[in-house]
Amino acid sequence: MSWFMILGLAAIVFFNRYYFLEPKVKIKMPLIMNKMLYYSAPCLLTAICIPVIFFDGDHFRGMVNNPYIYAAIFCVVTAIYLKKVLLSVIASLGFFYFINFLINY
Amino acid sequence: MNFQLNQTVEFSKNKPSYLFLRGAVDILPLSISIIPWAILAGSMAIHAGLSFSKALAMSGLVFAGAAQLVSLSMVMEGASVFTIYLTIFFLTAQHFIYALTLRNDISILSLPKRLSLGFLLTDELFAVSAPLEKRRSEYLLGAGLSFYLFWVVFSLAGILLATVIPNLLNYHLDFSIIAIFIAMIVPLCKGYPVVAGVLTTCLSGFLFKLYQIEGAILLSGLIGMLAAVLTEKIRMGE
Repeated sequence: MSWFMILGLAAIVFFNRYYFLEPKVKIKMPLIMNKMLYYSAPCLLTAICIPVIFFDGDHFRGMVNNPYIYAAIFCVVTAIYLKKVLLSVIASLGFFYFINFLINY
Repeated sequence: MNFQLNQTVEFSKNKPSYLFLRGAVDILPLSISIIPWAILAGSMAIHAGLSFSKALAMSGLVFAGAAQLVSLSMVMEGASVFTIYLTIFFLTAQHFIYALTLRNDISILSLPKRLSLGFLLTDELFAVSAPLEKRRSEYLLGAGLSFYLFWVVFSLAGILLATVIPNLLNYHLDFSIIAIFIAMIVPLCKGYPVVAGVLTTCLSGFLFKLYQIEGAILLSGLIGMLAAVLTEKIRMGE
């Protein structure tokens, strides 16, 4: 990988991150887009999780033998009832490795 | 007396140094769970044949885990520069929406702060900035810089230990980030529109990934956001 490629990658990622933070970039956003942005955090964070839960690279992890699905559901349920982020994360990690152990051995 | 005391406490909570520290602490769970990815990104760069300084520049300048790992594996597979650039553009396209979401809070800041926050605007920083009251520049800078520090230091560890560390992918460490994101998403799901949006994102994200569509994260996120707004409209019409 050349320096040219590394700097190009850095520039692309920075451009994507910075572009709409620049006040000189004038945007006329349709009203619906403004309303949509209100929901950007839950939807985009979900969009990041889905590929990891169901796929290993481009390879489908399956459904029944996939510990990621069970642990993700467990995490949703504990987050709803415990209402504590850190506690539900730790409980879900424990659950994940337990299920992983059950499936693999 | 008590009243005055409370006031000073309130005041100190809004001090820039407090906000900076608060941000740095709030992002710690995410910083800790990306440690294995930072080590992996560093060691993979060495395995892909990069020199020490180039490997460090990947983490220090590109500063995007998924983009680094994908571009390195594409280089090893012999993909062309243009294909790699295009893939990385789509892979990180969700950042446009992060910037749009935070635009009102960040575009009013000075140029150095804007550039810094732009550089530091990762998935993880966006996640901690989700609640409106957290969008203060000092808070975001504290969170962003502490996350950056973790990423670079542990990438360096991966670079230096590239030959001795086991294959971290075998330990399924990626679930820790998923667990944190889920635990952060759930409290945001108040009301039918958000729930509809999240479920639509789940379904469309799965299908896009299954059919290997470029920019699946951005597309499924946008479709979910649209579904949320439409649900809101339907419920208001009732």
